[in-house]
Amino acid sequence: MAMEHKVDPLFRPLTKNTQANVIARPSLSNGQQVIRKLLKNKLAMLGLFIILALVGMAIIGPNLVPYSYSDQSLLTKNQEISAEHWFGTDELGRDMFARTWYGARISLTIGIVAAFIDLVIGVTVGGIAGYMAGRGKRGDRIDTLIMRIIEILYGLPYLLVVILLMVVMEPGMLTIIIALSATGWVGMARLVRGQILQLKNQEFILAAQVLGAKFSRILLKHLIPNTFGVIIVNLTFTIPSAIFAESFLSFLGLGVQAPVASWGTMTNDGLGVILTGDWWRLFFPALMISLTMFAFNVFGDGLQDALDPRLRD
Amino acid sequence: MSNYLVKRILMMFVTLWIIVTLTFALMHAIPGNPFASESDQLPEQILNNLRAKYNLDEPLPVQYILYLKNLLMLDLGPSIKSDSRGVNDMISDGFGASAWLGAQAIGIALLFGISLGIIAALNRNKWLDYVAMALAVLGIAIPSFIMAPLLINFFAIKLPLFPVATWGTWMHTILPSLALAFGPVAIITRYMRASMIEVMNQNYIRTAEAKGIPMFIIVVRHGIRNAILPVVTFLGPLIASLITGTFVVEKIFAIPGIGKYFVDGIFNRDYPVILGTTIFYSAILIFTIFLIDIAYTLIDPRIKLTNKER
Amino acid sequence: MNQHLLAIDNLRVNFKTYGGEVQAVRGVSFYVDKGETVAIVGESGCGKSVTAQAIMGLIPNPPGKIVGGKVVFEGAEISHLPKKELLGIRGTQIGMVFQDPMTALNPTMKVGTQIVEGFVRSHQVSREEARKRAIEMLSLVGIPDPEKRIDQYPHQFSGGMRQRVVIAIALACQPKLVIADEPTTALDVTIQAQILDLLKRLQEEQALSVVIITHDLGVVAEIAHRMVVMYAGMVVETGTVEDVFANPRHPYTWGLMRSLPRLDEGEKQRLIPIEGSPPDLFNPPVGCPFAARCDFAMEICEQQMPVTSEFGRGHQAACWLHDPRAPRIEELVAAGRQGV
Repeated sequence: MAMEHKVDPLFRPLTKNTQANVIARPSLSNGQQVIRKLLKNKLAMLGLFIILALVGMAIIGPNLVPYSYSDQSLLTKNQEISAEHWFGTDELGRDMFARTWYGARISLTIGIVAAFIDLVIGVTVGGIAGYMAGRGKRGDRIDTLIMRIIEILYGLPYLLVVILLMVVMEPGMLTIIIALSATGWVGMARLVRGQILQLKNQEFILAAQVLGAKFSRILLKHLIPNTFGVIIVNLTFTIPSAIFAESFLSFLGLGVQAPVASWGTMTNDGLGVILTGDWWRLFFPALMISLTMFAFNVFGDGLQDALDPRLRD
Repeated sequence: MSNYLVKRILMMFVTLWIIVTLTFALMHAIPGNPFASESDQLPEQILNNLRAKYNLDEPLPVQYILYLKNLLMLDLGPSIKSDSRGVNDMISDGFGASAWLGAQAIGIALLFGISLGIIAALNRNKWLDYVAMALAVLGIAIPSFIMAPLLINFFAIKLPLFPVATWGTWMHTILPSLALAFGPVAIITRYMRASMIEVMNQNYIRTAEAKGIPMFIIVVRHGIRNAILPVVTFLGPLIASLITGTFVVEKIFAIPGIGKYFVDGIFNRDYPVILGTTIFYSAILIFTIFLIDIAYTLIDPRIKLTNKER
Repeated sequence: MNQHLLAIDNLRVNFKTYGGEVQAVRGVSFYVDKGETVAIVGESGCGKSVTAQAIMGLIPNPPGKIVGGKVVFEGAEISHLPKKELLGIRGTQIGMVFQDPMTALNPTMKVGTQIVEGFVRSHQVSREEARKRAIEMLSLVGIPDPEKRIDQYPHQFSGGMRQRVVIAIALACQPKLVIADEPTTALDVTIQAQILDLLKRLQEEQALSVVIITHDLGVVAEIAHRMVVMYAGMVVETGTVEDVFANPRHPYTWGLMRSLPRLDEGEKQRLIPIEGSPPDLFNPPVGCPFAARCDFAMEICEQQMPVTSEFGRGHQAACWLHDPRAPRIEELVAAGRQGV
């Protein structure tokens, strides 16, 4: 009866529409977001491309030319780059192209295997230390013991230790890998322990414990997957540092022995002839080392950014 | 404070002792004897004399005790390959060149690294930032043993501005210092940039802005001081990497430093020299880390030496 | 002359992000007179802090930018001043108190130095004088033993003490206006009351003008003379604290009041939250931003921005309900909508 005057249709009350409140914004899963962000990072993608290209060339490169890395020919020594010898030849007439990609096999294998061993030891030791910390007196003691050892090893200059070990051991690929891994796992172990200590106090781990999950299961199913991101990022930095260490050793004459070639030994050889103007001897192996370091580092940076939830857009 | 210092100094010696023991054990774990290469040529009598001189006839524990005893009197022992000169002589010969080279490289690394990091952080995502970061990536990608020949090629051979190698005048020191500092510059730049970006986003920077302080003064007074702290912690690993860097740089530039003696020692399998120089390096490193820890407490008032024990 | 100390006119601030441009402040107007405390109230993300930063010229640019409107301080427009002249206003004319005292102080600088840093710059005083001033300021904000305290570092102060230091910093150059951005949010309840008392005392003693930003209506009732209610980057209601509390005119303000516990309603009362969440400011609605959450929304609310109605003594609200064409609120309540 109060509504006798004509109501403007615009002023008719709305029926409540709860859907209007929902902010429509597509939500992506964690993995999708990481990959999307990584794909958008041009520098990281360039790094990935270079890594794949180097690995590809290490596999097929030596077969692209009709020479092996050790074929000597006094007729063709010290040749500049040409249609015959794409990267030139060395003082024994060996084809630098074949040697460079053969060296890639050696350098990349050493780098990847050493980094992988670091990963296995580091994750195991770090995981155990992190899990044991705070589990009663015995657990704490195990953690403290492991951390003491890690602290001492961490305080030593990595390359100095590797050099000393190489002095003692017979030179060769296997011993280089052993020397590199001897203290190389320490960084990974510290990282994993820190991550696990942080994760441990979170509720889903507590829930798993309450449900009676076994130690190994919690470690494998919960703790390791949740530290996966930092482990992968760390791997993209340990691989180039192992490759660097290998070339450093080879450069000092402690690496692989002739006629086997690695980028480090080839750089060392190239340095010997720098005054004669045979630039290709130094250029190609040095370029490959630098490209490898560059590629892994920018890819690792990109991955780290992509995994960092604070940097999400 | 003094209590902590005493404890800290004691720990320094314990660490050094562990390193000495490990290195000693490692050097004596080598199969065969260090004179293997010469024993074919040397008469048995001379060989025995040599062994006696180096205490090689004694059982290993006795050798170890004797070595420690000499070490306490700061005697790093004789060299096997050089009759007249012991490890001490080598170190005192090489120390001047190595220390000069190292100090100059640290200076360059800190000066350029910190400035580039600050410039990059303040011009985030502008071209100056990209230039600084490109330099940083190059510094990480190009190891010193590649940088050194590059520098020689361009600035000593193509453009004869500097001497190719050896040691003598100040001009001789420039290329090796640059080669040595290039990697550390890159790492410090990255550290400093990240740290500076974080600090400049802190609330206390906004507080200072609200006081009406000009941006330049805020950067200097509030920004750099706080941003430099993480860089200080990096100085330990930096010194370690400089030490290993001198091995190759001194070798490439033929600089008569400790690094060259160390590398020659490796090449000649001169174990007392390797052992002695390793101990010397470790001592230097442990001592610098100790100094850095003290410096850290002076910069950051939140950290007191007394409550640093975990 | 009837000039306001601070007048903000149709201020608009945008932020560029990867997802597009956020319109954080969309045409805000209000004023502050000499010796008065004005509270800006609203939920997080409503643009109240951005408004405060815009007054000081502290909007980080990029990504933020003042895209329209004016900030007039003592008759002069200050929102587009060059950096140099802005420095002359910050600290000396307008002081600012920040939300989180734990992070608002430089951890590596002595407290006394931080307090007088701006004073030393603007007054060119000697070390002795600066020290004297720092001691004076610390005792003004009620910190005991100021002679000793000025040489200490922030980590040696408790949260409440640090907030007192932050207030001392804001007041060190005797500004005419102090902007306090959620000054009590990060503090314990008992400390909150102390800090509010301090602000109130200082405001009265020094005849300060204060803009206090808060989401806490209790704080408003305690300290403010007038209040500005913001929602989704706009002012929805403004007036004296008495008028707005006694007679709120905007459905959002009703919602705020209903979600506040009242002592006079006994134990039976229910706190009623405002359902839903504020609109997406990447793409704000053309009509009233509150329409989607409003119990009284009408067709027009979704289509046109409401006009501002005046209820006397400066009490204003932007809502279509006050249009003569709108049905009366009582009728809507009778029809089963939530009441006041």
